[in-house]
Amino acid sequence: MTEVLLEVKELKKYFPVAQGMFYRRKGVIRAVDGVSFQVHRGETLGLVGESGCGKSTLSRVILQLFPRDAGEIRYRGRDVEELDRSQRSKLRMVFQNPYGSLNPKEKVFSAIAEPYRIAGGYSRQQIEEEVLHLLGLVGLSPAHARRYPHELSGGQRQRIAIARVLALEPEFIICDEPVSALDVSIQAQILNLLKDIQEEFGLTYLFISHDLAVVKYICDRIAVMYLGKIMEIAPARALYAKPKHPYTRALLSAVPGAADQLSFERIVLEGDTPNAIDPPSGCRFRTRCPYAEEVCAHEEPDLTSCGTEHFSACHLLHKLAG
Amino acid sequence: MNLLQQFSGNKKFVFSVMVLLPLIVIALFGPLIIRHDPLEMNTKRVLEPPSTDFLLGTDEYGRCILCRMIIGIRPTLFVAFGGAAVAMMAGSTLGLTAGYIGGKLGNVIMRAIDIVLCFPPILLAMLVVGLWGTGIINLLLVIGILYTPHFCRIAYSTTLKLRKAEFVENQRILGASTLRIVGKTLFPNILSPLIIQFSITVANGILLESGLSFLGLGVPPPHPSWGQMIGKAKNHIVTHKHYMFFPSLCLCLTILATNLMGDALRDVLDPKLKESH
Amino acid sequence: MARFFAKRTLTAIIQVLIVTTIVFFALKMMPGDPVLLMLSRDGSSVDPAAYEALAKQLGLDKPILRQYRNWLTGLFTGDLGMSYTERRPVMDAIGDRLPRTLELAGASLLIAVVIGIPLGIAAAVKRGSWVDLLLTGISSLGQSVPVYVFGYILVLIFALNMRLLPSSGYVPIHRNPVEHFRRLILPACTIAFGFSASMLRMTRSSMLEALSSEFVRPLYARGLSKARVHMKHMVRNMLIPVVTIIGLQLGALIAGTVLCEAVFNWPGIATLLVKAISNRDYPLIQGCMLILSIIFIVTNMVVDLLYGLLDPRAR
Repeated sequence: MTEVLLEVKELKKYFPVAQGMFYRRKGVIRAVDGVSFQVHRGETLGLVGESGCGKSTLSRVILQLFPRDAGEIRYRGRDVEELDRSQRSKLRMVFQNPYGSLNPKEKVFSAIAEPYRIAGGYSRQQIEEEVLHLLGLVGLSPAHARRYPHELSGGQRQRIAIARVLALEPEFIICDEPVSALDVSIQAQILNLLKDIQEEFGLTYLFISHDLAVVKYICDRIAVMYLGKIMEIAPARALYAKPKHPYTRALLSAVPGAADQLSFERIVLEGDTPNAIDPPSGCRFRTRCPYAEEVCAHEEPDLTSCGTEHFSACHLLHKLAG
Repeated sequence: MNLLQQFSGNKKFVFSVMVLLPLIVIALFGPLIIRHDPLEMNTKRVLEPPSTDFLLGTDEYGRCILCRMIIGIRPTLFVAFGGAAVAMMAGSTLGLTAGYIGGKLGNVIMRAIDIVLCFPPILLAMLVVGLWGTGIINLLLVIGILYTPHFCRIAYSTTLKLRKAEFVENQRILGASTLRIVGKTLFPNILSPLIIQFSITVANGILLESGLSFLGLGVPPPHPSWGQMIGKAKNHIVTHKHYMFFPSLCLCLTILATNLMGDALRDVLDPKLKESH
Repeated sequence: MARFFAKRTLTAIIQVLIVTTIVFFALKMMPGDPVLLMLSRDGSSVDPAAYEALAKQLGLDKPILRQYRNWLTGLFTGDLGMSYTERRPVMDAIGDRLPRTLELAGASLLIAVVIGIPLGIAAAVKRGSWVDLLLTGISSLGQSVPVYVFGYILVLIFALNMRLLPSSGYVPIHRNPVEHFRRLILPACTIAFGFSASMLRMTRSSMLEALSSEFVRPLYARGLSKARVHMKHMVRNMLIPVVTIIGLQLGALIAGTVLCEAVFNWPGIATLLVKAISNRDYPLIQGCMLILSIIFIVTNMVVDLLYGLLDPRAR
């Protein structure tokens, strides 16, 4: 087993919801509600789930864009809050929307140079060399440096976002749906680029997506999230071949064209995701789970081992084998 | 380059530059081109019609009207541009702070700003001038205070929209300081509406200064300003129409040019609004 | 709805309190001693005993918070102190002048509505025609001509050249109603000019929006005549711009009235205020400021409430 780079333990993030005339506090959205996992050096951990399940919040809490409410986030064994600036700059993020992640009033050159300028201690010459080097790495020409983001295509913008994230030698990169805003024809290019630079620089990824095909292509291990909790976590191959949790099965059932190749009974999800302000008691998935039993409403299942590195949070694991 | 072409193709912009640019040049170099002392009285040559000596005639104290008009641009433009600059600096700083940092501080700032808006603008100006006296600096500060809320509200609402933008989060991940994010990342993105508001404020500042001077509450005599000259000329409206005509014409042209500048800026910098006009 | 009303009224009350406080303390922060000023306008020496007596009479020997409380109670009982120059209670002076100012402002508002809205509708209906171009052209010029300049233009044309109307002054209505209104016409039209220009622009753009909106086309399809569509279904949409403009331009209306009173020697509250400022008559300044600011706040409130009635989204 390789070194654990990032460890998240019992992480919680609640957002207060204000309503009413005098904004009396009415409740909290449990966006992330007790999440634990580890990311090993050099691997790609996928994080999948429907929109609103807390994936994006989780990534933002890890990068300290939001303060956490409880739990631990350790990077190389140290709490992220105690990292100094140069250590913090090893943790980075590629955003879903390349239109939004680049400052519209800033030329490409400045966008990529910005990390060096914030870090300080680089000469003008050094910065210029670095920027041109990074542009080359992501397959763009030096001419692009003089453009504004709105003059570029979506794929080019995402390449620039990647070039920017490569500045200052990062180690751990959160990719928040990096290709879902792009044309399908561009997606493969960007995914390959991400794979290439991972190999070249020995990067570790936390790859967030709702697209199971994309996740299967790029990830080593996959965590499935539902309403702020992790339902199942397993090596990619095992998860696709032998999913244990009904929710995972439901997600895989929904992949177009996959229906007839399933190793398990097909599950079609009905109804909407319950409100995260007031999640169901016991197992959160029980309201939509076709197998739900009495016990599911009373007790919250823990992640339990059910194979090599395979964990699932379901009371009915033994019944659903197959 | 692109922006420059858009501006030079805009008729309103070209017109307003053609009016405002010479005006600013005259304001800057006025003392070098005038032939008479604008403050020097000459009781023997009172209220003369235009002549080769006094191109636009003389006023009730025998002073050259043209010279007084040339020097009279200065307080108006100084007060209007200076006041607008003060308002823009104060307002955008407050608005950015309230919008980005938010919380209690933001609330306090925005409520304080609302207080200014409780007063009708001209009355607040009259109150300040009435209590602290007339004078250029007071006028400038009054305009600064009066229009700070407008800039602040614009900066606040745009910052609020951008605060959660991914490019701002990106800066925070890199550990950029709040000052850097506000000044270097957010500010350029809220600049366009502020520039438009700046030109509107200059127009309002000119109107306010000339209005107060017209009432005798602005630029203190004997120093000239257009509004004050119009106020004096009203006593001679029957006999000496030219005395009132020229300052009025110039004042109207200047305000028209500033208004058109605002329209042009809006057309170019904020194309979304173009359709509705 | 009731909640919106309550909230907006509460805001207005708070605003009035803030304005009163600021006006009071602004005066207290003033350089110079009001008692000295009252006793000797020219700065000659003052008898200390007389000074003491007057200070006591005015309550200026008490601590500032006490003075503030007294002033507030005075305010509610209609006592704003004595004017130095008018030599009578501030409230009386304002009471004489305020109705004249309100009459002037009201008349100009009426004229602006009567001129601005029909022309705005005409410009919108005939969009792009020479009528439209002429009207929008004049209205954008109208926004660039200061009130007093336009006032003198009117004076030159109608009073000095054509000799149709008097150039300035005021005659009380009970003395001579005809002369009273003859003297009202020019100042009211002067203020109305700039106002009707913005009214025209606003009406035009909201009318254009209404004409192109989804709910109008079916009306044509149902065979209603153009004129009926214009009239019947847009009155409500017309009221909104009027209310909006009054709200947006209220400050300009007050400024216009202030300047216009000076042009036409209209003896309203604004001329009183200008005179008070020139004479440094502080109680009078305070009183005028206060009354005008309260009118401003209350009108703004009424505009917002009306707006809430007309357009539920604004609540």
